[in-house]
Amino acid sequence: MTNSIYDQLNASGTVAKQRVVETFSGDALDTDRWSLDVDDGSGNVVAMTDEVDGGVRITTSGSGYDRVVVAFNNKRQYAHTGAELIGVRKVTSSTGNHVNHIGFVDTLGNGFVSGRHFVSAEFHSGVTNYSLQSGDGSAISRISSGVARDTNWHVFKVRTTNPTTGLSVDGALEVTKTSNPPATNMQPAFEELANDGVAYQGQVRYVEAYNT
Amino acid sequence: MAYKQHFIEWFSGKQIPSYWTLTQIVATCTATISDEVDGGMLFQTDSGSGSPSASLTFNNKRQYVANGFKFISVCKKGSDNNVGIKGGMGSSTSVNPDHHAFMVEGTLASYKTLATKDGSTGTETASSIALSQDAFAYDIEGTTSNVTLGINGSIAVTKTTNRPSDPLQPYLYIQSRSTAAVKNYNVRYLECYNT
Repeated sequence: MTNSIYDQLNASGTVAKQRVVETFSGDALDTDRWSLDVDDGSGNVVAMTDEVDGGVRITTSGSGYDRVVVAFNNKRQYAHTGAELIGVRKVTSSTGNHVNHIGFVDTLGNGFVSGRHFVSAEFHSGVTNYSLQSGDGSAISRISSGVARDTNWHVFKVRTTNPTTGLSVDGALEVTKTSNPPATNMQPAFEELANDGVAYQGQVRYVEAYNT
Repeated sequence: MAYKQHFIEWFSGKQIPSYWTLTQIVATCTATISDEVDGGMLFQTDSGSGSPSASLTFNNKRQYVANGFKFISVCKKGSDNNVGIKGGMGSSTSVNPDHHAFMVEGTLASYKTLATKDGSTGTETASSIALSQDAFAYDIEGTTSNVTLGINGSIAVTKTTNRPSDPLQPYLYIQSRSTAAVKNYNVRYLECYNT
């Protein structure tokens, strides 16, 4: 007898909440599911990799300022009052002047920045450790995870329960904060931002998001 | 045991995946991804009279066996009760496929109901579970001896008559009823597989 995925994910009798699972494996990014939002620059590439465990890769143009956000085109089905996102991600350079986010954001346009509601696992080439960062629509703040930034694959899990947001890296070391929590519905998203005209790469091979 | 056909739809993302086919049956309906928490897919009729209706299917790619399948979905109808909805497995894109096993809700039934058709005769068996606007999970299982409808994890109907026998595809249906207004049907999960 074949068992259902539903019964493996939900207790008997449970009415499941919204969930999505993306494995980033195929000949191209699923553009029925994902939208590309390029705030600046041209020549950026978002493509499936031809490498073992490679997932999808964002490569910035290498010319000027670039910001590429992959999201759900403002279909915001995940609650700031209770949602989690698991992402498996790496960057290919831990130095230079670039930023990578994976998490939830409310609205496209300028990505994970002040003015947006968001919660993310942040890589910032100017910050020693991976960080939990959030925004409440006006201001943003971050807290260090204690895990040093590098170029390895990591499992990041961000959660929002309003007002608490949290981040774990590789299943441990969760940090939480209550400052500047998101206060509206959000969509899954990941971003690569290049500040200095260098071609940077961020890769993601798994995203799972769900309401709790 | 060799892996059998299995399908999962989360209805979460930018738009409805292109492997779904929207078939207009009366007037014009739409199927879009909802921009609301837990909204899933929003199936909507237009605001006209004359019972606007449509189905959402795999365009007659029928990979599921009528006497050995399970279908699971989470859905709710909109705040306007003058709507009929169906979900389950059907043999065509039409309003009344020759072979089907459907959960029926809204003003097409008095209670949450299991409807089946065997190629010529269609019959319905009502559960004791009231119609509602709340989200609920249901499952339909077809075996060699019966078809069952489960609501929120408990079997609500077991039906042995007029069971489908031809291959089936996932099938969702909406019909505006009684009043000329936009009617809604949200589906946030769909899974089906051969057992």
